[in-house]
Amino acid sequence: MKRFLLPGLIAVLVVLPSTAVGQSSMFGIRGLGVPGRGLSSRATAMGGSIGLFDPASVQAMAPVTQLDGLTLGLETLQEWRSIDNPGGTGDIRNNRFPQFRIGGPIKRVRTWLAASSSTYSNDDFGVATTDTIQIRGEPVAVVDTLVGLGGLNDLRLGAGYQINTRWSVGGAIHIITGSTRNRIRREFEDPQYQSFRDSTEISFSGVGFSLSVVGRLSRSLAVAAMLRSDGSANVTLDSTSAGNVDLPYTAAVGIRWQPSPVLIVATEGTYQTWSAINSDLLERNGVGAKNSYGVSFGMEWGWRGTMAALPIRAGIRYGLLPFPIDPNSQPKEMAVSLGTGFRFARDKASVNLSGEYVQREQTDAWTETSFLLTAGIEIRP
Amino acid sequence: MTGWRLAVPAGVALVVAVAACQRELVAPGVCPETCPGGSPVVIDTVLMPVLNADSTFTGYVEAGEGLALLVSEGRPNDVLSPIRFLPLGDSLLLNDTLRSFSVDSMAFRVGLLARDSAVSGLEMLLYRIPSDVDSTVTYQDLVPFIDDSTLIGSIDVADSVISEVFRLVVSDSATLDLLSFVPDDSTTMAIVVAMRASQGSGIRIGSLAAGGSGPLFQSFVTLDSVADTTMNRQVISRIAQFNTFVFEAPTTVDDTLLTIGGAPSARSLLRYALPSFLQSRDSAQIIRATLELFPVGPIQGLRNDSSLVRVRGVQSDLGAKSPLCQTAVGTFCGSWFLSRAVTTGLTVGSSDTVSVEVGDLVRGWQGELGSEQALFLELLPEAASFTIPVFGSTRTPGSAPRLLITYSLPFPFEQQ
Repeated sequence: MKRFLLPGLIAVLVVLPSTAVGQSSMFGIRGLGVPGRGLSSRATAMGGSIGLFDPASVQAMAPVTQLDGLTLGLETLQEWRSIDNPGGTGDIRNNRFPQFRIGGPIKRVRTWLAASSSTYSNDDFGVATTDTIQIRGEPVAVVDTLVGLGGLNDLRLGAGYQINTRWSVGGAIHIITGSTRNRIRREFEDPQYQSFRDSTEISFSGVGFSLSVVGRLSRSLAVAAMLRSDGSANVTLDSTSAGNVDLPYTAAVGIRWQPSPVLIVATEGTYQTWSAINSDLLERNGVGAKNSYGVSFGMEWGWRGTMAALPIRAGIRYGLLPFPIDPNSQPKEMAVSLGTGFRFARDKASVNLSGEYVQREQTDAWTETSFLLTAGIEIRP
Repeated sequence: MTGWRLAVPAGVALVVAVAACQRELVAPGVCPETCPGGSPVVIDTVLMPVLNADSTFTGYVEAGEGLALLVSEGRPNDVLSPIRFLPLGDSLLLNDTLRSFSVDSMAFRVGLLARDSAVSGLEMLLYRIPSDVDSTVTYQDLVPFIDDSTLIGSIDVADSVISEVFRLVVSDSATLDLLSFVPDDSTTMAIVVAMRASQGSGIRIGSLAAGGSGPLFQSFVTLDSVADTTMNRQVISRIAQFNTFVFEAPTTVDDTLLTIGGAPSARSLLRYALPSFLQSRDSAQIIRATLELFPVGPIQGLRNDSSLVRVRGVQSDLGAKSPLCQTAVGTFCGSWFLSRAVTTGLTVGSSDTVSVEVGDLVRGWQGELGSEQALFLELLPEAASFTIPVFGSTRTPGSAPRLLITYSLPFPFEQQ
């Protein structure tokens, strides 16, 4: 079977588009974009509620101690989104690859090492606005298209340590890097005017760290926690230093209850101090940032008597987004999700799928709904 | 079972991958909420030519070298068009033998390119003139031949006809006698084209350069000593060897003004100095540049006849002999390419401001690869039009050419 796995994975990677870009959200236009959630497709299907327990998610390092052996994973996400704002309505499709990961044990020292690349924040966006301006004393209709491609990546390198059969801890260094290429184009209705184009590239680099713990309080009840500090990021504008921006602290706790081998119920809460960047954004004529939180609840049911074959996963989550469009309020999002998955090749590979319906809004004027299809592939060669 | 287990994940991955290939980025937005950095700033400015560095030069295209010959009668400055054809020769080669011939009839082709459609009763008149006509000929030299005794014939032009190729066939013996050669002619035919109409007017006819609309002289001959009746009748065609047009009173150019057109043709050079903030595309993007020219009086020319002002970029400023940029769309002029023809139409009799969009040329001035900051004005068709626009220069108070430039500043992207 092994001889099929590697060629199969390579074939899938080749078939997948090489450009992992797409618009994240209307609520990612301002600030650093929409923060990534670091979840696997399994955790996404459960609303993110098991993110702190899931070795396939990259929120915390402690869960990697659950890996049986060297494991590689890839997530891909396809989104269909409808937008409604004072500028009009629109439908958008996009894709991205929010996560790659690899990890495995060094069993003699009860230590696991892991590395991953995931989305820290997604700043992909494209908006078109129309206006009529006065040029040479005449009204001229214009269409401005502003497109940003890029965002910040979280390159995580860390280790997990199994203290005993019930408790594990983990720590990681996070290299936060990435760039956003912004382009603007103004088209004039009067063909006598040449379109205006401009572009810039903004790069970020910073280092953060995280500590996490996961443990079983009883046979069925487990808890997890994570603390993370991302420090600050240096900003470079077209190869010229443009100062620093502060990045948030993150605190998260989770509870997992497994009353039977085929049923898991979990919840998680996350809080991020994005207001740390508020003053930096305001200095740069931005709208600012606010602290955000998210809560989630989910379940997994192995209705066929095993979690390995098509379990039913469901979840719901609610939270606030850190970067408002209008400074007077804060955008919020709510999502419901459903998913499943299966293992194959003697449990050495698995595929997980999740569908998530997300509603985001900031006042009644700014709303968007998305359907996100996430697929994850994991291989233990 | 193994195949099924492989096929399902591969199929799922393939479906997701294919779906992921689709991408639409742009959504509607509204400012200022979804406009990080704001909106592009657009600024207008006016640039004047460098004082006393604008000039008119003449002698580019001589009369007769353009696509048309001018003919007029009853206008302030009448014009005649003399034409000399290639020698007919006195024999024709047939079956490897030069054979003499006798002329049965002759024909002249004249292509009418433009006329004043408001003038009726147009006739084109062809007169025989001496075969030694050349570029030294003057209007006064030709006037004696505008006479019934040298009239080859006339071509009546219907009032509804604007342009058409005509042929005047001559077969009567009296006219053939008029067209017969004397030894000094060396079998070279020369004519002058004049015109007549119900009122003073002018026409443009095809010149040697006009190809199928150009002058043509045909002789229908019978070869001597050829019994075969299918071969002994031949047509000998001769295109023009020389053609020109001459004014009753040659025009002069006022060097305090900017003149284009005429024959020999005049062109005008305008020199500019871009301010520093417009020198680089990084500091300002020129989104429109319009050259405004102010006629010093009503534009002279033939009513209802079209002509254009063309503005060209200058590769290197060498004055009158400056190498100019190409005019074809897509060619580069300095640091920019031409996306459209840089021309505008002229209205005879109008004193209105003439505006030409020169954005592509002015954009070509920017940057290290920029062309000379100068514009060359010329008339189309050159040396083939009655239109002679005269514009104010920097020496003409209140009528100096203006360059209206609209530009955008670099966009202040939000640095976050």
